[in-house]
Amino acid sequence: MAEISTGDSKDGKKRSKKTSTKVDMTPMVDLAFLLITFFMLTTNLTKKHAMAINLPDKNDIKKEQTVDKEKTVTLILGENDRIYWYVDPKKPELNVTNFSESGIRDLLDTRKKSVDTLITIIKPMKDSKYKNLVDMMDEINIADIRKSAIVDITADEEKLVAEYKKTFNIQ
Amino acid sequence: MPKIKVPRKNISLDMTAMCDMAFLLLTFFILSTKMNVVEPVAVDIPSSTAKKEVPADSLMMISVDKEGKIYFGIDNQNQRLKLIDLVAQRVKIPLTDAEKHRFSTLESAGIPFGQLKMFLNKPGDKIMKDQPGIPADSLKNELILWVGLAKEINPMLRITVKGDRDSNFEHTKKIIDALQSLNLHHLSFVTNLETKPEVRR
Repeated sequence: MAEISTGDSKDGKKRSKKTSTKVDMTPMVDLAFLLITFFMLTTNLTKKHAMAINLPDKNDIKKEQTVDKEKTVTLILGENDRIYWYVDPKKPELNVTNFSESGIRDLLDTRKKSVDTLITIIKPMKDSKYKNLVDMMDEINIADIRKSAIVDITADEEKLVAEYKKTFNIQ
Repeated sequence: MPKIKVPRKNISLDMTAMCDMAFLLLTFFILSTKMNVVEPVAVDIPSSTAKKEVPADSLMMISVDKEGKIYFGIDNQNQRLKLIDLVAQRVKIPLTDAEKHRFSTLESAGIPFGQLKMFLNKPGDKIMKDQPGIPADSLKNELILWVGLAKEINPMLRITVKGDRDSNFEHTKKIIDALQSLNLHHLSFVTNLETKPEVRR
């Protein structure tokens, strides 16, 4: 606290009053910390990151692409974070998995080990969430798969998923 | 026993050092802070392991909120002014200079052409509320026009899509379709950083 010397002395001698040069810093510190708190709470230090996506040319899509069917894996993004996937497009056998580490990550890992240039085809359903798409692209990045495409889902595949859900009684 | 006298110490501390430190931290936070831009909606973005940072300039941001409303914005205020100028010309909306200036202050906007004049005359913060989003359906697609005209003003604009985690894919699909019809094939999704898991052998 600030001290003010009174200047009174016992011997009654009058002395010129010496005011202390000490200033009470406490309110200033209070203020500074208040402002720090404000700026700390309003600032956003986390920088946003960008995930690059390359879209195919529209004219390319119309041409029936000839990819080695064995080398693809088709991942249909369903509702409630489910992934329906199949390998052979000629007679698709649906399987279901999820976004956990033992789910999609293992799947991509094992597929990648058996096929060196794996191509992933992502087919989001209409009611799948944007989050799922980003997660999926991310998993593909993590598995270090270079080739992937986001493709519209076909009516046949929607039917397959509906059938699959019916037989296994998934909501 | 003799009483031990505890010497009375002055409890007042010297606050100067503390004050110095507090102001040092304060300076740091003031300088490092980047004020949050006021956006018409709060978008909760997903996280990914993507490392690349969002570029600081020449940015075109297409946001999608939870309900699937689409918002559009470019980062440079001068370019926004040019953009609204061009939009008013092409779509033939009679906008005054004051209204155009008002538009250029908006970081991003989701207003259909039909309601542009009405929204730009709303006082204060009300302009931020209840924006209907930019129509991007096949029948009435204003997003294509926005993106096309923005690209006309600054061809270097990089396209970023900022979608809400829980928005449905169909809305993202609309944006992708609009970009593809404009022959734009590069875009990036804005995400938060997440640590990359260890690569298993």
